[in-house]
Amino acid sequence: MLKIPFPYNRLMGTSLVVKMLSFCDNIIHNSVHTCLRKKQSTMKKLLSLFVIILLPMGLVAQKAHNFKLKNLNNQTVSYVELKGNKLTVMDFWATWCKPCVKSIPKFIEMNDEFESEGVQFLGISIDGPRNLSKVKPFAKSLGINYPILLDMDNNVMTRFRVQAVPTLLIINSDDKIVLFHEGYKPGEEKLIRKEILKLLEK
Amino acid sequence: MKVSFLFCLAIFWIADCSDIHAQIYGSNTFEFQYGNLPFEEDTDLTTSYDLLNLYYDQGNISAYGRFEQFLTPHESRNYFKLTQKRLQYEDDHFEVKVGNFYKTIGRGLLLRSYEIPGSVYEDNFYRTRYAFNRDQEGISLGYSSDHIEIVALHAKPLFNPLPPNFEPDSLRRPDLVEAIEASIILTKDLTVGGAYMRSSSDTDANSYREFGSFILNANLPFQLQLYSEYAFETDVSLFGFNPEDSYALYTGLNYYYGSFGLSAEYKNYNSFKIGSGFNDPPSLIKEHTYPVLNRSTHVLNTSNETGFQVEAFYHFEGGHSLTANVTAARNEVFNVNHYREYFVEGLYQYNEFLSVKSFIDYAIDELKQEDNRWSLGLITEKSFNHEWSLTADLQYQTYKQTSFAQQSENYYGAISFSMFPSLTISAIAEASTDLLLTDNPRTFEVEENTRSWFGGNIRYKINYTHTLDIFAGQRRGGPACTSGICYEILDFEGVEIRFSTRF
Repeated sequence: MLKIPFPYNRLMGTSLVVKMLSFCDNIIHNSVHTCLRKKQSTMKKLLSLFVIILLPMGLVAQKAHNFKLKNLNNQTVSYVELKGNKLTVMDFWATWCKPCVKSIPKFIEMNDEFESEGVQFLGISIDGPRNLSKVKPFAKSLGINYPILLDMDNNVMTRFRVQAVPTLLIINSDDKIVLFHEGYKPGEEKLIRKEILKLLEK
Repeated sequence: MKVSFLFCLAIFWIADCSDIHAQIYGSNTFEFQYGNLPFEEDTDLTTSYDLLNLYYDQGNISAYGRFEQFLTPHESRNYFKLTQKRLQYEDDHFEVKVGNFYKTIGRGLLLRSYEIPGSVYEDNFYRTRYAFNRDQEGISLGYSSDHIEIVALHAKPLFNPLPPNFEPDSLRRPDLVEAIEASIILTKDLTVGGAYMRSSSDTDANSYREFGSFILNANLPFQLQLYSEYAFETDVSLFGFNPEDSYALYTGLNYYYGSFGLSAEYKNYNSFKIGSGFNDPPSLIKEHTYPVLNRSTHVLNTSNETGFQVEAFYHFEGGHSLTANVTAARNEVFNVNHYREYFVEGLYQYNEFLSVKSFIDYAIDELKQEDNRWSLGLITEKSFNHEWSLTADLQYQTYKQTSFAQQSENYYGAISFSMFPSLTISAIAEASTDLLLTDNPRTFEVEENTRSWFGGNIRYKINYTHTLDIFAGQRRGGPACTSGICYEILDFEGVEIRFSTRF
């Protein structure tokens, strides 16, 4: 039997639609380039080819890496110490983010509901030095009862490929990111709750 | 270019040879623009920008590369570059980073790095688009245990006003920084620390400026928390605060009780712009996301500025909240300038389907010559069966421009329709009577007619890895602050398409 080596085997588990979208992204990009550029060196062509090959290659769930951050009491803690037995729900937020203020009370309710079932919520504040002093009083006055970590340099945020706040990630017990939800509108917590229940059933 | 190619090959080869526990992942942002800058109606400009982040993880080792590509019909502005690369080792106690990394010392008084994920900056002078960040390039070593944390670095911070295609490339990193920061965890409630840093610039590589800092972080009784940092150039008298000295003092105290929270901060900075400006002490200015207030922000002057900021929050049962902020700053470079701002914001959650948010803000900004600046806003969000929602956002601002002896007004209105969880359609209208905006700089006459901007956005989240954003119309530029970082956005008129991918 033909055994497809890593990382090409990643292609096999992804939907055709998603693969095509990634290819389209590159095709548009490269088409525009073709129109705009009169000259292109061989090296650039080769690198563009790499982009095309690499983009759809890894279209599977990213595995969460371990990381260390300070908590609200200035103690350094790691993801491994805090993660849930079954699921970890990671909410990236900031004190200046208006939708975050609306979503956090819903996550506090969900944390209370699912904590005993092995689900751990983690809040990751992306506030920089300008707003860092506000994070603790803001979080405490809001009644957040799950751990809050401070990602001042956005190192964790960028490595999880988070581009906006709020963004919510659900990570399963194999450390695979199984849900990536960007933004928040009232009512979306019902979708997230449904997803948690579905994942707990698995 | 050879380096880029070899880096790609290396990642590809490592991935190919490694076991199944390794992973490659990343993100890609492609942005296409067709349009004009205002007052340049006949210069249709087509640009294409692509940003690719690639990560490779295996055990404790990870590698990272960032490629950026920008293309226009103007060959001289085009580039394709490996703009960041990093090799990193991390275990329970040690961390080694070689290449481009982000490290802030303390609260940024001595050294601050940042990245605004997803942001694409357009440079006004070179008209080049690139990712907006300030990283360091070099080596960083870290050690941490239960009682001590140490980081040492030897790196060149990025001078980000220059685009990636700027030649010579060395001018983009004109400073060399060597620093060591240590924190001693005395008890679980008390940490003391300090840093030593020396920096030199390419123009005079043998001449160093030396700095030190003391840091105190304490959890106090009665749910109080104190953070204090004092940074100074080593040839000054400690805590002398003399006008000729280079120093920066920042202190933040916060408190909470039940649903009430309070943050009080104080700053005193003097002659503390280091090198090309790679430090960034906290500005102690409220960060607003409301458009009329966001672009009215006060930009810190590290040459000389003192001030404070106090912010209080109260979160009521049922999701209601109240926030109040008072800010004051005084700086003196050639003249004495004051900045004062009073802000109150309320969120009222009528029921789970309807919420109303409003704010009122009063400010005086002598540096920008804006007197009696009043800003008001009302934002209503109505959800229909948690399947779709409608948001109406109305904002107004008025101030007296002392230089023109004229009252200026800004209007902002937006209506947004969202279908959960994938589609959002918004229409935005803005208008201004500010002479600095209404006047066409290319004509002799001073145009005073109200200037307006109309635009529309569509955001479609195809799935959790792909998002499509389309903007069409006119976009008002000006100063903007995101994640505490302030920069200038250019006006734009045309069509913009952005496609974001995670993989």
